[in-house]
Amino acid sequence: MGAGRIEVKDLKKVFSQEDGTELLVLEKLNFCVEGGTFTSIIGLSGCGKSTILNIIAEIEQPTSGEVRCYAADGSEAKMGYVFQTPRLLPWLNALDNIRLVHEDKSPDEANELAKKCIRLVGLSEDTANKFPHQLSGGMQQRIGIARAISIEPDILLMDEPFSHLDAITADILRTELLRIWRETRVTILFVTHDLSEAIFLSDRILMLTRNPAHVCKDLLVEVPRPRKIDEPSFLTFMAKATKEFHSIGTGVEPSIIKPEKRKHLLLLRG
Amino acid sequence: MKIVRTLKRFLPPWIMSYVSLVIGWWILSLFFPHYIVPSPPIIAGTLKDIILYGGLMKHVTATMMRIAIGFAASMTVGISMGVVMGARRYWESFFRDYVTVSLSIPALCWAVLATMWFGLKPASPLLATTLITFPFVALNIWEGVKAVDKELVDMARAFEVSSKSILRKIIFPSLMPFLFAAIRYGFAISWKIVTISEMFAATEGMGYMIVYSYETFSMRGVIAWTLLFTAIILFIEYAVFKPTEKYILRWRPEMKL
Repeated sequence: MGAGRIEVKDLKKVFSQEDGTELLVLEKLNFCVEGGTFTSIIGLSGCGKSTILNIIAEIEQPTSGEVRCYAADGSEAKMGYVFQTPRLLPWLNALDNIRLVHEDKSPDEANELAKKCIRLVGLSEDTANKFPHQLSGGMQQRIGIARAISIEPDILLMDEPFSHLDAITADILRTELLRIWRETRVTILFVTHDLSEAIFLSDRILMLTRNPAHVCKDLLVEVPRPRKIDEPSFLTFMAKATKEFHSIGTGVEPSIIKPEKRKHLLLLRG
Repeated sequence: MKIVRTLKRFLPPWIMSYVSLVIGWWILSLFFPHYIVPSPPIIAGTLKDIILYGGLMKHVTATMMRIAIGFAASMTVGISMGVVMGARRYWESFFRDYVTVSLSIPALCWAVLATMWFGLKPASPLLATTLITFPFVALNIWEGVKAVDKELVDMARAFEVSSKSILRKIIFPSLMPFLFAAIRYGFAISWKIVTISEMFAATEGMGYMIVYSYETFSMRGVIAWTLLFTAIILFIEYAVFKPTEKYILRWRPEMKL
């Protein structure tokens, strides 16, 4: 487990649309993610962030360019993926949902591992026998995280995993995620459109432009951990990053961004 | 009124429903001659005759065999067609119009055609049943395959789950509700078609007996055979379909059975 490295070289992705036209989503995308780090990719909705993760996870094929993922010892990296929605099979209970990704292990071994991971994400063991519809959204997403962690990944891909949850649950899960990251030291590549979330979590933030997407800003997050969103160092960095984010040519003015973001800006001005 | 209230409290609604049906029918029979609306005791007598001397088993077995074969054939054709239509766009265009058109061709056309082709041979009702039932099955499975959650399949592929397990643990379970709808439909339609085509092209079976009763102007016979028919359908529904469905779809929160 842990410390995998990702190299993305000259990645290009073109989608053929139903009406026959082609949509260029990614072009000249280059970046590296170092072992054991927490990196966020931030960009506007629809800019191709999820496509990048899907290509890294080999769900989609790139049009050209290449992605290389190594484990710490240079072998092929194992990859865990946490999606925007939990993507649990509704006909399997929580335990079996995790066991689904462990076909190669004996039933006892898989059971033990699944239970261990359910505990690791802060759920009690009786959750194991519950069907997804008996669990809250936050608990379902925890199972999604447990599933990804259970394969002892070298790289953990996360695609806006908290964006569908209520604000308080999302806050709790962010803190839990940092704990899991500290305990496992897995390399995390986290996609989000929420700048404060990216700053709270990551070592480094890659900002993407869109049409087609490529990395236009690469920021190291110079805020000491543990972070708090109301500390001066956090707010200062937030102000700086917000300015960068708005300067990437998206045409979005601060006046039309979402209310919760405006709150941050008011905080900064106040 | 107090009696009704007491009964309502102690008897389940389905018993009340049958009791009211019998009472209503009985009252109705008082106003009509017995060859129009035979009273419940007359029907009960006819039922007894059929069960004791009327060759019930012979006719029921004949009909059930036809249904079983026709139903199995239409499920096989319907499921295969539905799967390729849902999975491959080429075959979807290829078969689409056949399914759509077959859905609306009157059952009678097929029954007549089959009889003209094969005469009074066992093949006639079987062919008619298969031809009429399979489009309903194909339609359901076609929809089912298209409704498989692609995101779940992507998830499994990201975690390198084998294709065999994806088929067994994701595709097949998501088809289950559609498969059940197809089985229900298929079975109900098979019943109707088998009995209709027995009226044309058979010398035994429940449909044949209904027509036989009609030709001998035996109202009690028509009603008694129809009742037997209903009883068998209800029995299969409650003894086979519902328990199986309840077990297999137990993960579904919205199922209220």
